[in-house]
Amino acid sequence: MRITRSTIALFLLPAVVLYLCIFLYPTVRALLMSFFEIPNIASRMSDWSFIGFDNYWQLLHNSYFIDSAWNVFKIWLIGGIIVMVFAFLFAAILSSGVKGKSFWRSLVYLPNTVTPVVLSVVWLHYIFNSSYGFLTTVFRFLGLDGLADLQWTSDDHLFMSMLIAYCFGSIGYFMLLLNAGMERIPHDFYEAALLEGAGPLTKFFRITLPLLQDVFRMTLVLWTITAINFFVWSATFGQESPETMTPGYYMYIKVFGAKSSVYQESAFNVGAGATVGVIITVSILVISAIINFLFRRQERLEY
Amino acid sequence: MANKIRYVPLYLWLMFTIVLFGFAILASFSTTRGIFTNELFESGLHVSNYLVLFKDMNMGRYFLNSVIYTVSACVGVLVVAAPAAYILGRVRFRGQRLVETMFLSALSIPALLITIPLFTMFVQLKLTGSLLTLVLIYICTNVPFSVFLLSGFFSSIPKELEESAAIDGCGPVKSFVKVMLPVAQPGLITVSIFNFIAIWNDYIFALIFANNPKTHTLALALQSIVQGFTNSGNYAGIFAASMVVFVPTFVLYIFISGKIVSGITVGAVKG
Repeated sequence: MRITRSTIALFLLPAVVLYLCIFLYPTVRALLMSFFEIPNIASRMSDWSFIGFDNYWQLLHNSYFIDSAWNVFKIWLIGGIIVMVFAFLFAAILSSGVKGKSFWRSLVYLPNTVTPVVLSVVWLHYIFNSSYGFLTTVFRFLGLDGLADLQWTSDDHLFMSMLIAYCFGSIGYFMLLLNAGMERIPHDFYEAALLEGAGPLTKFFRITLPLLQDVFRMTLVLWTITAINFFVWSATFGQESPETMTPGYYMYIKVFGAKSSVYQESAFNVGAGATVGVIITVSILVISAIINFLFRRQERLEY
Repeated sequence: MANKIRYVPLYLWLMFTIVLFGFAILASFSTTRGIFTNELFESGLHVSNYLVLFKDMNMGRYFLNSVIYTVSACVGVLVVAAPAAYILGRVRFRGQRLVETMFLSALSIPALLITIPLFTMFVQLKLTGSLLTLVLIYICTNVPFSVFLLSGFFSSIPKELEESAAIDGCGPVKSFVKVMLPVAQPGLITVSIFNFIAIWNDYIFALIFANNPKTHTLALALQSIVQGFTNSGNYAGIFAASMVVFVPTFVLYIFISGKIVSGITVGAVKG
């Protein structure tokens, strides 16, 4: 059947127009805004005043922003290690031929389908609660009074507690990606290795890991995007405390947030908010490029 | 021996998940006193925690809001994305790569980058403060991913189907609606499940664009109810409120988890 150019245009138009209005235009505009001082969010372009790289320079000398950037770096690195280790572990177990695979896979993925608001509640008010909480009860039972008395949600430990709860809610997704990659590796490889007398660990390090390179690279890039955009848990678990602040949530509080916040010490220039968004985007691009570069240096394996 | 060890992490995860959500469900039928004294049902089952939520905290209204947002946005996404995905999946035309790259690039634009200009745009168009605001936001932000996933489904449909439709005298629009859409139904359902979960659980866009309390989503309402109850020390109420949000998605997940799991791996490994 011949499809005329006008039909193509008719079918594509709504989606393309939406893309231009909702993605392309705001991206360009946000980039532009980052070079201006803008008194409030509804200001027209004629009220903007050009200040070059001042927004960037000021953010880099703002201790609140720098602290929040540190937090996100720790989330990316420490959280990344925790999530990848567990995701690998579960993916490897699930692709090793366990009984009831689809049940277990759905179970590990389950926390990813629960909204962070609910996950924060059950972790904050049950697992980490210092009087009837899960950890306190377990450690008391084991006779580890030192650990049982730990105040998980005090200022000193809030960040780590949040990171643990957050990782629990994120492992499933990355497990699925790695698991799918592992199952695409042809069985012959493992059979051949078995004939040569390779044990399960040798098979994992000599066959699975090298052949998983591409999937692992993609998984790391996706983790980077998720981690650098970290936002919701700062609101639901950290409840605006400086310990759990991230650049994304910092931007939200400054531009949209309540006036009573400690972060609202002075009138905020909306252009600086856009600058935070640009910095987040650029960091994601740079880290992804580094990951791609590190993985590209080795030869690609076709199978 | 080594065979059995594999199951240890799985059973630990299972036990932890059951304890985590099991306690929350039990506690939601208890009292704050019962929770703190570790005797949850000392004074019997309490449904009152739930009654308070729906009577005094308007939870029913927010529940309805979330249903309206999710259902209308899921339908809206299909209306916009399906025709575009159909063209991208089946027709070769000039500029195709450009259009494909466009939708792919949208997947890597952080929501946080575009929120400020989007908010300004909505204020200037006087589109804030109603239910329509978030419906539009959810449709727009979920179109690129849906186009990307659906074009894969459309390209796997055999060509003969359209040809026989054309012989029967169907024009392109009619053959798309009458022939292609029904055949692509499994794809449409998979995409809608993804959009459903993303929209139902969304927090960022709701926080920024639903600035009128009447338009709050269930997740937003839950957060403010939890804050209020934490201050007044109503712990049983906190758990009950969380369960109102958790249980519907959990029940849905039990039925469709297979589709979600396979959908994610198809989309991800190809991309």
